[in-house]
Amino acid sequence: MIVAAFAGFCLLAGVVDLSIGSMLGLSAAVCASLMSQGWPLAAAAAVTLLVCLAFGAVNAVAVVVFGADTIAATLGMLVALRGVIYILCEPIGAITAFDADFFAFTNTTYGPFSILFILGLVLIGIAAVIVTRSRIGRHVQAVGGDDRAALRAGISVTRVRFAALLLSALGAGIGGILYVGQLGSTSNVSGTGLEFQVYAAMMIGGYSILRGGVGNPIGAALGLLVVAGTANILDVQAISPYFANIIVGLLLLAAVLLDRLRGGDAFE
Amino acid sequence: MTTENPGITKFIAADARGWRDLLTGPVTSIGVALILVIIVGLSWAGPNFVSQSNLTIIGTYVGIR
Repeated sequence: MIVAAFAGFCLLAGVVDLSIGSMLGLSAAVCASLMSQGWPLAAAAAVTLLVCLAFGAVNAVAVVVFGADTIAATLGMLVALRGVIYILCEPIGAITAFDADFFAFTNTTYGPFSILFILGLVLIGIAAVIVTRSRIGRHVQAVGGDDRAALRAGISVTRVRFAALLLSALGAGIGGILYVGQLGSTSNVSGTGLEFQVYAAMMIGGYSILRGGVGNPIGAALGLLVVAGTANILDVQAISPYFANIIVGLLLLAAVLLDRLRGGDAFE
Repeated sequence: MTTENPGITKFIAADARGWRDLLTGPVTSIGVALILVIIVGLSWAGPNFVSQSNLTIIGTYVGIR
């Protein structure tokens, strides 16, 4: 929910950030690397977020300033950052960075709800309010819906898309730091495939990758819960978790078909 | 003979459209899907599906994502 709350702004603005999985892995690797060298958590987290924002800015410059295709540019970043993660995690492919207080915080539960779930809910709620009730949210949706019309209405398309890509990187950065806190370590495969898990759940929840301006953060949260609930049923029944991929794929297909039955582009 | 206030008619039409959009919207669809998942989970996996520890596992899974 934390990564999805931020990544949703990208889809709404009509750009896709495919690098979020590697960005999360990079964030975890940088944070763990700094912490393992004795950096205090706050300093390590701040530097990590700055690094993620810097790479997010590279995405934004490529897409917004140079007009690169958003999928191609962020796919390139996805691959490049995975290489950086492998280098950071050398020689054993993992970094241990255990901080007892941070571990206790990220694994805190209130009743059945983990602190990360509650934090995700809060962020989804804030994102939903911004998207549906604020002028910024309307600008983002306008840019994603029809960038030429938004430009004619006086909205800075470049600024909105630049900010959306930075927000997406920031969300993945926060996710990576919390990941290190939760596990006390990271590996060179952290975040692999996360972009597909998140975007599949978001598309099931009503977002569209190909047309912007569509979607609601609450739908993304519900989509994630449907995917997690489905996977969990299989876990509880001791069924191979690979079946979850099949079910998520079928759910995604059903969501796309339902969208077409509702009218697709014309519906919006 | 009856007279019709066009303002009220428009208001009712807009209200009905709002409800239609809400009921046919993607958030409602995915909400229904989530209820179905809970029903399937409860009927197939039993009460353990909504046990405190299992809800914590699901919450932790979706929290960062």
